[in-house]
Formats: sequence, structure tokens, C-alpha cells
Amino acid sequence: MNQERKEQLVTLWIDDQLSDAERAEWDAAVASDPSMLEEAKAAKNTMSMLKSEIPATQEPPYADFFNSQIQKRIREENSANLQNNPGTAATFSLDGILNWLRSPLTLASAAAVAIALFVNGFGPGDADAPVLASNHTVVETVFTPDSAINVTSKFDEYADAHVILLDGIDAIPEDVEIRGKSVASWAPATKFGPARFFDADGKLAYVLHPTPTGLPHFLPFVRDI
Amino acid sequence: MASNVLQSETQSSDEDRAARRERDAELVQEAQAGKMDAFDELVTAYRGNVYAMIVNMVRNEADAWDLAQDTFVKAWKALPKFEARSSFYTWIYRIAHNVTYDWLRKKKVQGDELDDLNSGQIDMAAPTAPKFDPKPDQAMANSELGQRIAVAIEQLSDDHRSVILLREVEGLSYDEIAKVTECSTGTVMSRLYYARKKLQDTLKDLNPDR
Repeated sequence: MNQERKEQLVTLWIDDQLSDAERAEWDAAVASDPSMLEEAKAAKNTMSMLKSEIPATQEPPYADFFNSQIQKRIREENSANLQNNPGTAATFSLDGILNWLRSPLTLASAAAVAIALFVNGFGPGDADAPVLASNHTVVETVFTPDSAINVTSKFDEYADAHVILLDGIDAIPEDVEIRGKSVASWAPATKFGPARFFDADGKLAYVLHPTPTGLPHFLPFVRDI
Repeated sequence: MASNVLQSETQSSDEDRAARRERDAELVQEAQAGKMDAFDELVTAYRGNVYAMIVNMVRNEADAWDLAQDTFVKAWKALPKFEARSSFYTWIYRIAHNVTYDWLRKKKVQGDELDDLNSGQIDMAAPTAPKFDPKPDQAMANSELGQRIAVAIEQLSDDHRSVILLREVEGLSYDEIAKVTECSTGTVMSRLYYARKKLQDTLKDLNPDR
């Protein structure tokens, strides 16, 4: 028997994992070399002692603080990612909110609000600039909570801007001004509070709060749009 | 009779594990959708295992606390790439394993070896010692026998220490250890063999059969 096979059989015997065929092989090996069994028994005893002395689980000190620190670090990393690399970071971080907002809403204005949330590209100080008027604006994510409305976006060379196309809603009156705020960072909803969105200056731009029935409720910050 | 009890306990343990995995899959899905509460529940479910594994690897509570934090933050960042068919607990162990190995490697490169640990004792009164109070479940590990075993484990190489802890303490299968440590099952078994041999040799005076 080569050394590698011996190692395997001893290991399997200690762990009670020998198959019938391996047990026959083991019995034959032990019959020709009884020291193999002694060696395995001694190792098994040592492992039993080890198991009884070393706990498999040990709560970290200050366990609640441990959890809250993780949440804090994640929020900080999300904010840093959004500021350093708005496109890629936003895609994942906002997934949860996207799913949340996909709950059925019937107001066409809600669709416009939701779209405005995910427009990036305003520079500091441009927070109140019209969404479609800035040639620096890039529409990264578009969706509509109402599946009957199809929403797409594309860069229009003639307009020199990204254009959002809403197919399926009534024509928006010309006197309705669509505006948005730039979202530079956000904090996801936790058991302590709702999801919050901040502008580049760290000021609260939007708050999303579920109603008792689980639908998204836009607090006054959003209605300012 | 004892065999029946053992079988019943094993069955119950398997059922618990299956239920845990099912719940993990739900929580992972919710966490992937951005729900922090779901991720928080995963942290609560696995922080004890992750922290125990790391503290047994680095033998310093303050460092283990930080490394366990790093583990979960990395897990959150990597969550979009996590595939639902995988087991979350094997995955989180792998991240913990990698985080700990990176840390140990850096410590070695910096020449900042754990001198106080190599001497076999942690001086809890030292100014740099973690200011964590010993917990009741540590009392056993702090017993004389526990100390002897802890020192013997510390004397193993990182690779051997890792497989011993994953197998004997955390109860992972060979395949699961292979996934966590990113090596073959054959390598896992070989490392286990030599790690056990080394431990048995170090602790032979404690063995009643010798």
C-alpha cells in the first residue's frame, strides 16, 4: 500500500467515512500492519479532546454592535462607490429600491418620479436643473412601476441629450415641468428607518417609506420634483 | 439503543441544516435585492461560526473581530455574484478563510509574527491585549487542557490549522473544506492526516492510550 492510500484510509477511518470496500481494504491493511490501527486510534482520541475543548461557535464581543458596524461600513462603501463611480455602483445598490418600486402604482406621475430618481450626471449646484436640458445628464436606469407603460431611453444627437420615452401614458401637458435632483448617495431602509437619498452636498433629497400595505410612499421631498 | 439515539440526533441535525439552508437561500435572495434586514439576519446566523473560526486561526479577539467584520462586508459586496445553487455557509467560510489568510500573510511579510502566541500564552494584562472580557463559553478553552490544545493548534502551519478547524471544530465535509480552501479533496485529506499526526505527537502525553 502506498503512503497516499494509507493517509486516505486512516483519515476516512478516523472520520467514520469508510465505505464497505474501503473497510475491507482497511481490515486487510491493519492485519498486516497493526501499528496503523494504533496510530489511527490515538489520533481519533486526540481529535475527540480537541472537539470537546474548542467551541464551534463563539459570539463576537458586543454582537449587536458588530452587526450595526457592518451596516455602517456597507453604507459608507455604497456612498463612496456612488461618488467615485456613479454608474456601476448605482446599478447594484439601487436594485432593492427598484424592486420595491416595481410594486403596482397607478399614478402616471409616480412613473415620472421613479424615473427622475435614477437620473445621474448633474454636477454640484445643478440639483434643480431640468432633467432633459443638461447635455451632461446620462440616464442609467429607467423603469416604470406600471407594466402597461413602456419606458426606454437613448441619446438623441439632435437634442444633444438623453431622451426618456414613455409609451402608454397620456400626453403630459406642456405646462408640466419635469425636474429632478441628483442622487449622490443613499442609505438603504433598515429596521430603524426608511431608505434615504442624498444629494452631492449630503443633503436629504428623497425619502421612500412603505405604506402599511407595503406600497412605496414618497415623502414631501419627492413631491417637490 | 445508543445507536438509535445517535441516529435520531444525526437525522435531527440534518433536518436542521436543511432548514437552515432553505432559510439562507431566501435571505440571500432578499439581500441580493438590496434588503439590509435580510443580510443582517445572515450576519446574525453566521457571525458566531465565522468569528470562532477566525479567532482560532489568529488567536487574538480584537483582530478576529475586525477580520470577521471584513468577511461580512466583503460578502455583501460579492453578493451579486453569489449563485443560488451554492451553499451560503460554505461561501461565507471561504471568504473568512481568504480574509484570514491574507491577514496572516501580511503579518508574516511585515515580520510582525504573533510572538506572544508562539510563546504559548496570551498576556491579557499587556497594554496591547484586546480589551474584551472572557466569555463564559471561553472558560473551557481557557482551561489548562484547552490551553494545551490551543497551543498545539497554533503550532500547525496555516494550511493544516485551517483544515483541522474546519473539519474537527466546524464539522465541514471533505468536499466543503475543498471548496473553502480552494484545493482538491485529496489535498484536504492529506493535510488532515498530517495535521492530526502532528497534533497527536504534540499532545501524546494527554492521550490515555499512550
